[in-house]
Amino acid sequence: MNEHENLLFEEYDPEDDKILLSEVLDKLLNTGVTINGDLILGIADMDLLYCGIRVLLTSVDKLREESKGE
Amino acid sequence: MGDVVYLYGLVKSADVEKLGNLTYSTFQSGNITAVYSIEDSKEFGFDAFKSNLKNMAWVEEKVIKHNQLLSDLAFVVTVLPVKFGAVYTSLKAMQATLISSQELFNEQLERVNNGLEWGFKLSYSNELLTTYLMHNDDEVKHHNELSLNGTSGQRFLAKKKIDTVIKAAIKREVNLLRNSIYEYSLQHSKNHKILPNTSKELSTKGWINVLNLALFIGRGEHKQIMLFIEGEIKEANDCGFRMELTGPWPAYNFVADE
Repeated sequence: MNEHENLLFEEYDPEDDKILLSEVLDKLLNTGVTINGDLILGIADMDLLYCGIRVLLTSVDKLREESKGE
Repeated sequence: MGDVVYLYGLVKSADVEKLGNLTYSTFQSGNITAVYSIEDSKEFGFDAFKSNLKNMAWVEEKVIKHNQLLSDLAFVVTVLPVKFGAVYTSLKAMQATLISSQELFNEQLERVNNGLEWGFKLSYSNELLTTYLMHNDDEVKHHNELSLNGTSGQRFLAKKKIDTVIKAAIKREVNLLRNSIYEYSLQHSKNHKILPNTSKELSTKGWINVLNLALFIGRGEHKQIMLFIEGEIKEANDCGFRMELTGPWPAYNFVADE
């Protein structure tokens, strides 16, 4: 087992409910490299659609968190 | 309808052999190699993609797959994570972008070389922290005692003042813990970003987010910082604080936009 596999098993659990979908989405929609070029959906289109996703996500996460808190 | 090219991330061509058996495709363009998959345009074509982005279950599945693939890559080599949804009409179209931005991608890969991102959030519960302070903070304890058992004058004054005393004690405790973790993290990470605190709408009822950090830590250098944070977590959990540590992630927050 190499160092990175060790790190994977000790610290990273994909089932960990602390890693909320919102966090993954936030990283993939708001961070990372934006690449231009001959894209199917241009950056402006994607940004508009991401706004919709974020609104949807806020509602979903709120429901999840509230049901956990009860 | 034909197929389209979904781009996940970029790695150094020199690192490709470290990836072993691949479940995805790679495309080399000079010293940059793109990691991609061929997808059906019935799912990722212009109209289909637009429509699918309104389907939360579809987005969830694709985003998790995207992140998982990048995380698997990041465990082994330095990866430049690409934002969700970079879909090209053809390999030729993707290659054109790789060629035109090669210098920039090289620079960005160097920036995130040999490190991984970790996420850290600190929150507190007003109710739980107040209860803790009632029993453990001398000043709060004193005022609480006076408000219950003092003379009538002392009770009146203490009741009037207790909210202010609790508020100040909460502020003190939050700042102490937040600063301690922040300072330590800064000293032991290569880079950091303070992210916006989670909005109240997204927080669990009653939990207030006071620190949201992204830390860029060298490979193999995370253990010391994790031990420190875990130690703080153990102590803080009983006092009304909650900490969330996530990672390792690809260095999403430490690459700049094109």
